[in-house]
Amino acid sequence: METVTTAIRIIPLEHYIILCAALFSIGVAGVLFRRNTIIILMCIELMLNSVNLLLTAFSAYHSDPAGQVFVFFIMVVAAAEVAVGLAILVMMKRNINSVDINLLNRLKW
Amino acid sequence: MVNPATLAYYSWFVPLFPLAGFLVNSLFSRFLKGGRAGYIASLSVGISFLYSLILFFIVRDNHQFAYTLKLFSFIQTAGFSIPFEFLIDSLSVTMMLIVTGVGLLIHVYSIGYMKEDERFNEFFAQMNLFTFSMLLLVMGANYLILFIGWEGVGLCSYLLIGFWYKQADYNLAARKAFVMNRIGDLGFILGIFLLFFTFGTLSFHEIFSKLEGVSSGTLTISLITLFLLIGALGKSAQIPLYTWLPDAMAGPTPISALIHAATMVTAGVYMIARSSALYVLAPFTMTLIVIIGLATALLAAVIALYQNDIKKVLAYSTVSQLGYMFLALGLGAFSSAVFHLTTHAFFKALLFLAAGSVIHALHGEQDIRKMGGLKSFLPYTYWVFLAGTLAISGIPPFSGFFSKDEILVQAWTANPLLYILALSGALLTCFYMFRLLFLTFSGENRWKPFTASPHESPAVMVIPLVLLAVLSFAGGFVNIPELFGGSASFNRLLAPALAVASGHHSLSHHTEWTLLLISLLLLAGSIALGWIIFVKMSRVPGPDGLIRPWYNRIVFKKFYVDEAYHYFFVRPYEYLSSTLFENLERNVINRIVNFTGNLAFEAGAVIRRLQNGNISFYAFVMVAGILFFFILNLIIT
Amino acid sequence: MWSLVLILTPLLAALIILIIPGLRKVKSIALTASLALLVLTCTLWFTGTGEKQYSLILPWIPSWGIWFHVGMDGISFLMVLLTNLLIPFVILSGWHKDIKLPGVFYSLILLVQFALTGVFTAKNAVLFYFFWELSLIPVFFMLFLWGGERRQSVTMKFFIYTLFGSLFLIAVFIYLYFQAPSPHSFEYQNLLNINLEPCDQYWVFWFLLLSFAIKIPLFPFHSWQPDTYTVAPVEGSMLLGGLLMKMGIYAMIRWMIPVLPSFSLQWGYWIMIFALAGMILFSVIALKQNNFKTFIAWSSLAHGGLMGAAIFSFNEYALQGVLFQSFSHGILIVLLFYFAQLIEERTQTLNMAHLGGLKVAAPRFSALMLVVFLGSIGLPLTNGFIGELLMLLGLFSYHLWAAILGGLSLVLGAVYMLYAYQKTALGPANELTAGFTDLNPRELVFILPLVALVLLTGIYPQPLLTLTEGPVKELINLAFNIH
Repeated sequence: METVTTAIRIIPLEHYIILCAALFSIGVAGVLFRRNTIIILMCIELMLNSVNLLLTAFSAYHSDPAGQVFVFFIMVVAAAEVAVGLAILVMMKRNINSVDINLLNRLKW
Repeated sequence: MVNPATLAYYSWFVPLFPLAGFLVNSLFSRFLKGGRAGYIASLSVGISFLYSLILFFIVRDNHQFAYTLKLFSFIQTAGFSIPFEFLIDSLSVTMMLIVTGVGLLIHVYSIGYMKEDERFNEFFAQMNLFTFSMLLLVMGANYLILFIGWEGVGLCSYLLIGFWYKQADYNLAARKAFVMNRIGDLGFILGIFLLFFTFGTLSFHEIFSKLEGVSSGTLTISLITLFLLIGALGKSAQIPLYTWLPDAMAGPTPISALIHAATMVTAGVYMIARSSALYVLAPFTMTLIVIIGLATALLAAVIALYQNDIKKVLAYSTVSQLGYMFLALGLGAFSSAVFHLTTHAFFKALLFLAAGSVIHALHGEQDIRKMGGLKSFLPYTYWVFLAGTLAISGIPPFSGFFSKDEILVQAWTANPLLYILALSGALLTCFYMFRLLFLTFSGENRWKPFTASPHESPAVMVIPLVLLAVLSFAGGFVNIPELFGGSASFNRLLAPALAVASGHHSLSHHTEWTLLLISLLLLAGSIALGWIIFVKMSRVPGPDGLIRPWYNRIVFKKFYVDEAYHYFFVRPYEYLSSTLFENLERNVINRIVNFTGNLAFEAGAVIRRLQNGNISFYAFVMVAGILFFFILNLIIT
Repeated sequence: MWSLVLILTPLLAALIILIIPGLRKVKSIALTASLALLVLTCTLWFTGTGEKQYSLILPWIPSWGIWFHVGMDGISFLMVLLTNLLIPFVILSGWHKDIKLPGVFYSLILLVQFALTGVFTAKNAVLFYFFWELSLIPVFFMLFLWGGERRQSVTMKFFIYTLFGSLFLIAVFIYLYFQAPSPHSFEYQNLLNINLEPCDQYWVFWFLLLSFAIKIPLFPFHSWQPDTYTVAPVEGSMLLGGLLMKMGIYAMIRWMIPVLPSFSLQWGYWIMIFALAGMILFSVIALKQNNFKTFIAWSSLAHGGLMGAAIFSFNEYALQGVLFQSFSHGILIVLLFYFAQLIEERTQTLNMAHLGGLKVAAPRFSALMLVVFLGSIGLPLTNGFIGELLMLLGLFSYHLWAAILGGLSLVLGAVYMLYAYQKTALGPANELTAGFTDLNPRELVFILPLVALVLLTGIYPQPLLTLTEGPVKELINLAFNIH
């Protein structure tokens, strides 16, 4: 681990934080502003992965393996969630014959 | 003999019988066929009259007699203690005699007059109710009982003016009378309140005894007398509350005779006379009464000159004579006012009933331009009408002469100008009354010919007329002034009940004789003038649509007072009613209330738009919320 | 103990009618129960049962100072007497009608009686509030289900408006609870002992005033009233005008003046101006109303205005007058609405402009209606006169102008009442009114006792005056002593 730690210290931590923040924001923006459900799911994945990246970076920086262990948890959750999300997507396609999320707007007064 | 107190103790019989008559006639109406209701009503008033006569004999023997009869405790709360009690003294007995006596004659007359009316029973029931209320008024021992009777007669006046209720304008006249009376009553009740808070009681005896040593002209007493005066103005049809009386002629003629000539309208005069102890301490109010009385007397007399309805002439004549009574009151001659009230009751009732006889004979015609020459057809009516006319004009030895002359003498002692004005009024009175007499009975027959010529009224109507004519002739003899060697018994009778105004001078006999002769000459001239115009020249007043010069038109239109009241009071009020309802109520207040209610709906509608179903929007809001809390956290810590 | 009997009996009767299924003759049961209560109340009155025997205290939530404390003094007794007098007649008024769900309807009337008796006898603020709110619910259902057209919107407006007022009531009570020296309590006696400063706690007074002013109602919180009276079924209007209005007046006399005397003295002047202005406004508006029930509503508003004004003149005469007038006005309103019902049943219209000449076809009806109208305008020898006389006397002792303005009710009342009488009963008969049958015996049974009461209490008002004289004197002393 020490080699990873020393290696990773070459790039300051802030760079990783900014990168991940940027990726996360892109993901959030995508979830909020994109209409295609598949893109929204991918953006959700993007958000999760950006968090993963950041956790790994921190874990490497502080030589604490707990961060990387947590990444595995997140990956599992992401996988499960993608499965369910894609299932919803398929149901959506079958019912309204489109993947435009703005067409599902009955949850109102 | 019998103890006077015992007799007075049972004086509640007097109002009881008319009340019983009212109840019998109204509740058992369907069992009373024929003229029975009329007999019952007349009988009850007759019994009251007899009992009043008994009481009169007591009072005649003892002028100071004053008995208070308490029936029960009417209102007693927090120091406001009003017993339901009657006062029997010379003044109340005099009024009782007039009410029941003249009332009895009118009741008997009505049996004939109202014979064909389908609501005969109801008529007599209401007449009895009226008599009951009027008796309460004159027998009451405190201002509240007086007020109860006061409003009671107002009610009966309303009922009886609108007796033939199928006519809309009669109902309007009745309403007008009631509302105008009520305006006066407002003033009256304020006076009563002020009386209570000043003296702690409303009983006549207690108030008047507390007035010993009170100085004249205090503000409180002046206010009290002014308020009471407002009430009297409404009830006795003086300026400015007089316009209801001519309209009240819509009622049957016996009603005009009883209520609007002999009794109800005199209630104001009675009330002020009863309160004389207060009024002598209020010189300002007394002056005001003089002005109003004289003004009314003259105004009404002028208007009467141009009236062509036989009853309207008599109505304005009543207003005018009431003005004379008020003049007398204002001059401090309280017993003269009551004396004139008495004689006026006789001859005015007579005149109205005789007019009723004429109307009856001509099958409802009331326009004197369509009468004439009735002397030969209705001899009795003619002679009694003549008697009444002589009485009202003040020709000796008729009763009107004595009463009016007394007032004129008082006017001269106060101020010669008042005498001149009052005398002019008397001349006008004489003129228009003889105009009425001549146009109705003399000259050619201007009435439509009927299948049968007009015939004299039946005995049941004629006998009361004759009796009233006798009274109009002889009624003055109870109060022959010293000038003619009499002892003014009437004035002396009433003296204990009335206060004495200060500054009372008497005239020398020489002056009195001079004034008397002058007035008699002028009166004779007035009669002659009337004879020339209406008999010799047979002038008949023009039809209503005649183009008249402006000064004639104003008087013919009664100085446009009715129109003015309508324009300034009635129309704005009705306009206000609809406007306030539409604009204030509907548009403003209701809008505000509904607006507040709608606010809730509107707010809900706005917030509802947050729930638009758009998933992206929901997600956006979630993120925004999280960011908001983060930033809040950063700011706070 | 007797208070509890008076309170619970209507509740019991209502529950019996509601719960037992398939009960026939519900009307008779309701009538019997209410008549029994009337007899009981009169017996209690004539036997002179003392105040002690009316009082009852039971713990409810003692830790919060809430006790079930009921008691009656003269003022409460008068109101309870009025309630128990009018309810049998209210029940009787619809006897011949075939209404849907009669069981529910009559039990609602009895529930109102229950709530009213509770309001008039409660001596604990929360208990008072409880009954105050409770009275709204049966009335709401009566109006909502059995009312005329537009009943839904009108009833909702009435309900929410009144409820809005009650919000302020409970807020004030809770505030006063904390103001009372500890131990905090909602008891009436405790509330009387609070001494608040007019300057900083003025909002307490205005909130309390608001809730009562909406109930009576006083100008300018009256908008709910005309529509509600018009749309309600006749029994509902009778209850609203005859009894619920008196709740507001009673509340002002019992809960506002003694509890906040200094405020009342200080600002009573303003309230009087508003109330009198309202009275004049309402009298003027009443003239042009054509719907008979709306007309009665506006005239009732005018009377309420005068009563409200008189309360704030703070003397015994005025309060006696207000209480007496409450009694008379209740009887007169019930009679007036009964006449409205009679007219509506026989001619299918309430529009007075289309009527006229009722006297031709139905003289007895017109005569009795005239008596009621005259009682309304305060003709002497009817009960309306006594109340009005005393109230004006009280207003006069406060200030001359108050009496002049209040006295306008004499004139304006005559104007609109006689105009209404002329429109309906006088004049020639038209095809609508020519066939108007006169009163039948059942209707006479309703009308005659009440009209007799109108005249009787007008001629001999002393018993009622003696009933309330003592408590009124105590109340005034209380208010002035604290001040």
